[in-house]
Amino acid sequence: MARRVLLHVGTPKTGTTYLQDVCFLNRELLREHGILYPADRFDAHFLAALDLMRLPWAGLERQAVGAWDRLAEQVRDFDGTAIVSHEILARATGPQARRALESLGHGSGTEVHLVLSVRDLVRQIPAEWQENIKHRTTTSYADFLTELQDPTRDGTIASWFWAVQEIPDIVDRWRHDLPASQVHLVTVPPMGSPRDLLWQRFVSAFGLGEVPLDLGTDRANVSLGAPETYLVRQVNLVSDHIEPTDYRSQIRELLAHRTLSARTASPRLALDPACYPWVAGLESAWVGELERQGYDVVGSLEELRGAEPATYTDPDAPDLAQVVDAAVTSVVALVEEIGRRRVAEESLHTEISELHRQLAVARRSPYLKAKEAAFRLLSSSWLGRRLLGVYHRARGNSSRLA
Amino acid sequence: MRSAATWLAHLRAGGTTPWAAYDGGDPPLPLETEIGAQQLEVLRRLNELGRVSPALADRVIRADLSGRGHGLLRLAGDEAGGQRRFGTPPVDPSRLPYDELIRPVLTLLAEDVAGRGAPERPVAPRRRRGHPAHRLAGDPLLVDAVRSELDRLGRPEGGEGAVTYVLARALPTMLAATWTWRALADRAPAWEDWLAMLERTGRLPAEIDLAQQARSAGGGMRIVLDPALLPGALGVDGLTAPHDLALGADAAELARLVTSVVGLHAGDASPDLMIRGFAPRLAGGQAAPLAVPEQARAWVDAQARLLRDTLLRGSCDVLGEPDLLLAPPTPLSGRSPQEPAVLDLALRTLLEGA
Amino acid sequence: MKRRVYVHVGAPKTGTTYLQNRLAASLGTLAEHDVHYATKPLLTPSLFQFRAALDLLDRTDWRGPIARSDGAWEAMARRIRRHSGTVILSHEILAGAKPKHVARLWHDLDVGDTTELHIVYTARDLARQLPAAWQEGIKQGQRWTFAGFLKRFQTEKLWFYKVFDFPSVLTTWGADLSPERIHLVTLPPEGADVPRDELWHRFAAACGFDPAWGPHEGPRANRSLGMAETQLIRRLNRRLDRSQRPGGKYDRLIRTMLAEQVLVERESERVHVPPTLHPWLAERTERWIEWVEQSGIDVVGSLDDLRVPAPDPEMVWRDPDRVRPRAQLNAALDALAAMTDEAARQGDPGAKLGAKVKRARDRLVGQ
Repeated sequence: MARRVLLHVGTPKTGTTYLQDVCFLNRELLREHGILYPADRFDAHFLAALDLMRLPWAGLERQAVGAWDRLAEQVRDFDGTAIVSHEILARATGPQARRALESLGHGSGTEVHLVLSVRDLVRQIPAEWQENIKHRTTTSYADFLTELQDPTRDGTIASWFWAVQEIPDIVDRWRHDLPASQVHLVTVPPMGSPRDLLWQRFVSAFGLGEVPLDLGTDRANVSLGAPETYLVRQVNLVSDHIEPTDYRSQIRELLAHRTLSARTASPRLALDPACYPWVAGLESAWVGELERQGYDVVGSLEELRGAEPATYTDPDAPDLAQVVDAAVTSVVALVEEIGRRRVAEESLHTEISELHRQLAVARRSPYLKAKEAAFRLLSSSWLGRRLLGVYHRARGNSSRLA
Repeated sequence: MRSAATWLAHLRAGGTTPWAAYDGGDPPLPLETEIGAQQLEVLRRLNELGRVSPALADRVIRADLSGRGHGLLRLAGDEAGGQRRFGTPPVDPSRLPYDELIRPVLTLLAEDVAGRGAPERPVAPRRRRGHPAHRLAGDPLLVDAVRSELDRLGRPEGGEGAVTYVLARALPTMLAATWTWRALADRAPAWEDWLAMLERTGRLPAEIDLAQQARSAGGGMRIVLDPALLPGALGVDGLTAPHDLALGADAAELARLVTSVVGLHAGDASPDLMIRGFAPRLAGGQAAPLAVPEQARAWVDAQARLLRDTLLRGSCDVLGEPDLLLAPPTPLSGRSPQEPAVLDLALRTLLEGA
Repeated sequence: MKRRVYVHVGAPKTGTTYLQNRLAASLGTLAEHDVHYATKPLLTPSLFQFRAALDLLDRTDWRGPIARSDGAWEAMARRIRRHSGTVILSHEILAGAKPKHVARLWHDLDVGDTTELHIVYTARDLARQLPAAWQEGIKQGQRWTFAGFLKRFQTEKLWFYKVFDFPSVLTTWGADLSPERIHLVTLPPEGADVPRDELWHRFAAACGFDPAWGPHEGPRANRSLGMAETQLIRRLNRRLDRSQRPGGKYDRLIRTMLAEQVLVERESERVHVPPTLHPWLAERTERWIEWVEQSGIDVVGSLDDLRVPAPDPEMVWRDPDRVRPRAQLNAALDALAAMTDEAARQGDPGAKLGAKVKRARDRLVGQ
């Protein structure tokens, strides 16, 4: 039974990916320090979240069957602190959250803490739109903002956005009977703050201070500027026939994350200033509520009041010359990638031919022929296979060629 | 008192009064867990269709909401619900759109698919020498039907020098069959969206792109348009006309929706379970068949003519008249799936299976 | 003489592909009338002709996909010598031949003894030639802007200049030939009242056969690229350094994309030469026309077809080096879509072949 569980349930676009990458990279080290990050693959918590919330995700969900229970079991079997983290957990319903809390040991002696990393809505809105675009959405920024402002929240975009971003409601759904002292809000510092301040806050919230973590992961900042986001949206409009795996590797990984995110000089996405009064009103209401509830705050709730954007480029009408340049760069990136793959394919074919040639040579040798005959004979019988196993272990079998 | 709890009691007792018209009842014990307006309304509609067992009612109210959409919605005018400043505003459940209401039903149907399993797949017999070797390709529903038949008759696919028999029929029918197969085995967009996408890319799906298959085949391929000629070609006695798994328009759409969530319950076994477990439950009956809608007909007809001309000019063996590729007269009842009918079918399937 | 050989030497971008396709499509019917478009079984005629031409011209430096032309000219010459009647040889790179290449052709085709040699040259007004030539260069991997191309052209050092300069070409090819054996075929101006196959009729007249013997047109020629598409390819050429690595993997990919007509000309505009160039074009054209009139060579069509029409004062000239961003974006999106499809089709080699490698390794280790 874990003594403490730190359950990090959101919100998206608050540096969660970096935290999860560091935890995954250092999971052995963490374990030595009495902290469990139960993950056999980097997306283990993601799959567990899909399972918990019955969320299909372009076919990935097939690998998620039973994932939450497996995760919870590992947590219960551990004597120490466990960390569970995925930002889409924010959208869980009340009953799903209760199931999650109980499976992790809440009510059976485990002290479950809810952690929420949060950022001002002024920055969250454009960030979420971009995230949508990187997941094949074709909605314009203007339409996105309109949908968000619809009070009924109908439609997949608005219902998802508020489910994962409306902080007081997320806590309401997740908290159940946890005391306020076991609910922790980590606020993302405003622009211009020292680069590692947010990380320091995470370290503090998750109790990672004693662990000499290796912080080097190769996931750089992957946000896109306005022209680049416009480009990806245009691509989405004509690429609905592409399989999800290909979209993921070509458009999201190669183009968005590796190629287009490098164009840091282009204008950034920002909140449309016309929406600022409405957003500021919401932020005020939330800050008031969170203060009233008395949750633990790492950072400051005032940081949830976002600054009014100083400049604004309409991402639905960017400078087309910049978009064209981004497009040409993208074509070049794809051409180079295809070229790389062809080279890789050729060298694999060469390796296969070479191996077959060696095989043919080996087969011709009478000594090796006898050996192969013996091998086949032994393989076909149970006793023979046991003997072979002993032989291979004695030889220190490796699959590398001599 | 008008509250979720009292209305739930009314519904559990088989009541069908819509929330807006519901007067209230004696205040029972408060709800243990939150229940969504979606689940409550689904229970009400099930009551309208037939008798709902207590076990099924329990499953319905606890059913998770699969896929994207709202969280658990509250009832507008619920006297027991406190004032909540945050979260989605409460709703009148009878105004909930189709894609919200169907979510809990899909969860339960998917659970059923995973729970019931599918009949054992008969083991394909070993190939015997002496018979001409063949492989099957083309219209996926025809291939599935013919393959099962041939397996049963002891003539499985494969072997050296196998000739590929591409099974085909009228293009609109093949499009419906391909979409239905993909809807069961993988994931597919909605029927009309899928057709629009094909038209935009100008390509037929690979399985039925006979022209492309003919181009890339190195010989050893025969296209079969008339199923009556297949037994003679393969030298098989007793091969009856293939009875393929054609689902009606609404059934196919329902299957597509269930496929989109069943992976969470059945993992990689999903295609098999959908094709051999779920689809047979929906097949048959008087259901309206899936047909190409008005706006796509011109393009489909043009593609059929193009295919036919390619076959006439080409060097590939064709068994049957190439004109068989052209559209048959559209059956009067043939159409695209319709939301109210799909929801209705989903509810009935749930009731029948309970 | 046993046979008459008509060598169609050029020029590029004068409907040569159309003529070659038509000759290939009508191979049978022409042969019935003893008109032979020299070809080899199991090979497309235009490829056979191309390789033969490359070989004749010693173009081992060919900037493009590998042509495997060794011995191709010998093979061609042998085939031609076997024919009687009329034989047609056609490839536009022949315009670049030097006297020694011509001499070799004379020798190998037995000109003067069994072969009566004719030279055919198709020509068009320079105002239509130049944009097409520039675009052809871009398709081959060049990266000149249109302005840069035109400047180079005027220095007379560009290959395209040399092959458009028909007085020069026909002097080389026509040395030792009497003028009536040299045929200049002018392309009819484009227009609603000119029948589509007028060019075929003129070509047939030049080669002395009845156009009705070649009724089949063959596949439609590629539609030309518009301004935006050309600019896109030019930019890609620059970024991928295509001209430095002909036949390389990037070169092949771009060629495939072009061949598959991915960049369909939408409302993207045709390229025109700037009005300021017209005086120079007119001067050059008049000089060449004067040469024709004095040379006595056979003209099929009208010399007037070669005159550059005066620029329309109403029309505003659009600079193809400054294309509207919206048009460029559309072209770029088409290319992006094509490349994404190609990458998707190709798949991940590690995933596809990794299992095969492992199996082969395992079997070897089992030895």
